[in-house]
Amino acid sequence: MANRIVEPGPWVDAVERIGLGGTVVLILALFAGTAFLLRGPALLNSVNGIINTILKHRRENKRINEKIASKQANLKTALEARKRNGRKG
Amino acid sequence: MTIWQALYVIVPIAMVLAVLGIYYAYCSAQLFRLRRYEYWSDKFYAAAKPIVQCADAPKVVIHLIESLNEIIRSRMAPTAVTEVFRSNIESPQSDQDLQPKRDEEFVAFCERNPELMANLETVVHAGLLAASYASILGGSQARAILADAFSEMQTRRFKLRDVLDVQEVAEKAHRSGGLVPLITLR
Repeated sequence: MANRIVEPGPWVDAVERIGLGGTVVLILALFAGTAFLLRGPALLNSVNGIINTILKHRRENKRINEKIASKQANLKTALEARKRNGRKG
Repeated sequence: MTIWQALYVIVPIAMVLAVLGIYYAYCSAQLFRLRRYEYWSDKFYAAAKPIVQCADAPKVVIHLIESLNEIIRSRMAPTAVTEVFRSNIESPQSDQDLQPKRDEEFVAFCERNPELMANLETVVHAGLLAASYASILGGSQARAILADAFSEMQTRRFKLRDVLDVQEVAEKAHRSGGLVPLITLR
């Protein structure tokens, strides 16, 4: 009884065949696949939100900086005109 | 596939996801900053316009607007705001020191144009807040110091007039002189 060899079973055979690394990648891929099946729309929505935020940031950064630069230049011009007209300041 | 070969696949994917997450957090923070920057600078320019158009606006007020207009887009503005207001908070002046020098021109302007007093207050608050949003670096600290300074002013509101020296902020941000000390009556 004590000398009996225990059969390793199909799982160990599979791990030996694809290697430990392959097993880790397979398990992670299965997790990712399951998550996608269960929460696919929410995940896609999150990805969409991330892309939108990044694109909006690029767009707004340009627009707001240009807007403030233009207002700054306008006020500077008004202040210079005021000085030219001999007003205080 | 060995465990090392698997790491060659997993680590780059994890790194890409981490970088994307960090960049997303950065973009969100920047978007918030930009929205507030736009809001406060709009307020500042809207409030400054009637004062600049007023023929008898005193020199100190015009220089205040000029100084704030100069620093509003400076990347160094939040740091300069922090430095100036921190030193003011850390070395509180006595009530006697805070008594402003009486500026007759300013007093006359206040009496003649009471409707512009709200604009003047907005110019100071919105100008400094917009400057604190000019850069993501140091902005939070600048606003924390400004909150402290504004609260301090509020507690003195009916006792004293507050003296703000915006020249120092402008000099630190721009490293250029030529701006006069500015007095803001509350």
